[in-house]
Amino acid sequence: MIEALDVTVAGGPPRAAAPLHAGDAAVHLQSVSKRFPLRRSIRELLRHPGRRGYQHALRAVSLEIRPGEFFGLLGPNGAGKTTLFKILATFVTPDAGTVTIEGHDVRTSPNVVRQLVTPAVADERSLRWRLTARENLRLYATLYGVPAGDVGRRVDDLLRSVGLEDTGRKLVGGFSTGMKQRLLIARSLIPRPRVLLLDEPTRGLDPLLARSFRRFLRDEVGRKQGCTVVIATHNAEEAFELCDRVGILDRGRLLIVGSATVLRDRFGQDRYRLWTRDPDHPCLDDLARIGVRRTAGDEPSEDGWTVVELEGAGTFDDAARVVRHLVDRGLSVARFERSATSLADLIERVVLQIGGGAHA
Amino acid sequence: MRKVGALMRASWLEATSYRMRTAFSILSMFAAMLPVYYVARAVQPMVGDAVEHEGASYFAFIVVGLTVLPFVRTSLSALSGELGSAISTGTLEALLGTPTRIATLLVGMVGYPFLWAAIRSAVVLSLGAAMGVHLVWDRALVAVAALVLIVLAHTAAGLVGAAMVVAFRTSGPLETIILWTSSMLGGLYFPTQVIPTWLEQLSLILPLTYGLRAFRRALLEPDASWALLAPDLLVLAAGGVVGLAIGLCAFSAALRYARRAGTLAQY
Repeated sequence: MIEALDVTVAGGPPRAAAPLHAGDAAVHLQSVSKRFPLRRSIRELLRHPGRRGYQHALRAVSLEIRPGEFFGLLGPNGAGKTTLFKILATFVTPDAGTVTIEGHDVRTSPNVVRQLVTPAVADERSLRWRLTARENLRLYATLYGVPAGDVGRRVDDLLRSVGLEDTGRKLVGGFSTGMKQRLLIARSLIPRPRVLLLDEPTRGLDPLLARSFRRFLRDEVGRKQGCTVVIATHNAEEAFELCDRVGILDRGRLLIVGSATVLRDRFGQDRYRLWTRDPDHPCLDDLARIGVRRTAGDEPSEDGWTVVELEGAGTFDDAARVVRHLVDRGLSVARFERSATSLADLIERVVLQIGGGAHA
Repeated sequence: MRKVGALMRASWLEATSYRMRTAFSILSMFAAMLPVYYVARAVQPMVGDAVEHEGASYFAFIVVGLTVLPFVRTSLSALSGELGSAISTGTLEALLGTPTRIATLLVGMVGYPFLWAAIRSAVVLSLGAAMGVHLVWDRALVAVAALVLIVLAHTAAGLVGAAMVVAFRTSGPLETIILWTSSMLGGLYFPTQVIPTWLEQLSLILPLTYGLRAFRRALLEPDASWALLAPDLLVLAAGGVVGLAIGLCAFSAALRYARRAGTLAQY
């Protein structure tokens, strides 16, 4: 089941939420499923030669991503994000359903799709380590069809934008992890794609560079080039600040789609932290009767105060009632505040409440 | 062509970045010719009659064989080797993500190995000429045509090997078996007339037998007529066309399988 929530753009005007025709959407998936055969041991193969097990990577995923939108794919490992990316990049054929990029089917028009979509391969080994950064980009600029006369300028611009313009004759094999990551990003931006697929794009970047890269993505790739960006991420800043909408996948199912901040408000705004001198006070256990429970282990704070985490207090009015309940029963409360919801909390709650299952 | 050139240039830059390896590789080409020259002189009295219609000199015979060998080896194993390496390093996924046709990628990937094979062959042939092999330059174009047909015929098996790498991550013993059988029975090191009769029959199904015979006659026999060369070239061309069709079908099937199984760019 996919639940549609309000769609808002971070730092921009609200977008129309009406469904798009497949040809109008930048990316359109209709009931897409994919399963892979499970590897079997020789013993299993001999015992049951006819029996074949499958792992479902995607189950009837339907989704539409609008032109120019920044869309985040969230979910635990093995949720199906990579398979979805590979289908969009034409590396994997779906078993069922249709996938179109700006109206072109990935199955019937893979060559056209490859001109529209650029998958940013996140693995640094995909670079040519015995070449310089400039030589790497020159190669891919040619393969992406950049006109011969523009290759030099395009490569210089990209090297400057990722801060690698001074690497000179240094071979990529001698780069740090962060430098290689920046080169991968530069490579993916060569063709000025219509749809850019980014798999954890700021992994390996220092926080300052990651922030400047996000700004670059938003301003240059998004606003100026009008590129649609699909990002698989575990990074809260990317999900909450960069993405217009996010979709949460779990075990191949797309559980929910919506603005990350709206999702956080809905699924993550009922956690509070309470500072008390008496964490063993019986009134804290009584809270279960009004639907509030203690979640994590208590954390000692300064001067003998202890931080207790509570979940289920809901709105601020509910929280005020909880505080009154505790104070009336004689608990010393120094501070009571709403906890910031992490991306992990959000994913966990969506998986639990909509997906109906927990992960180890 | 621009894309093929870019891939070849990148491979060239990569290969030459290992400077000592490149230097030793060039030196070895020169060093290998000297023992061949003396061994050939020693063997000449024994095989002189057998090579009478293929240059008459065993040294010339072996020089031409060694000229063709790098092309045979490259045709058989370059494609599967380059694909296997690109899969294990992760560059294949990046290459497939570009709007470049698979055929262009494959040609670009094997372009440098073939260039290197051409350099090796040119060095061997030049050294052979310098050491007394008389080459018939008038029919150099016919010799090149024979070489191209040899390459196409063996590329067919190379495509099957590449298909196996795409589908199963290994080409198995296919390339080794073909290379070993062809070099032993196809007239590379010694004439097919000197091998036992039952094995000689086996040599008749090897493309190299026809290709090398035509190549040698074109380069070494001043009196070899078109009537003598044409049958070998035709058999080679027919075998090459059939083989290539099979190889291309196998490779296309492997690509479809890998896309379905999700293993196209998987390590």
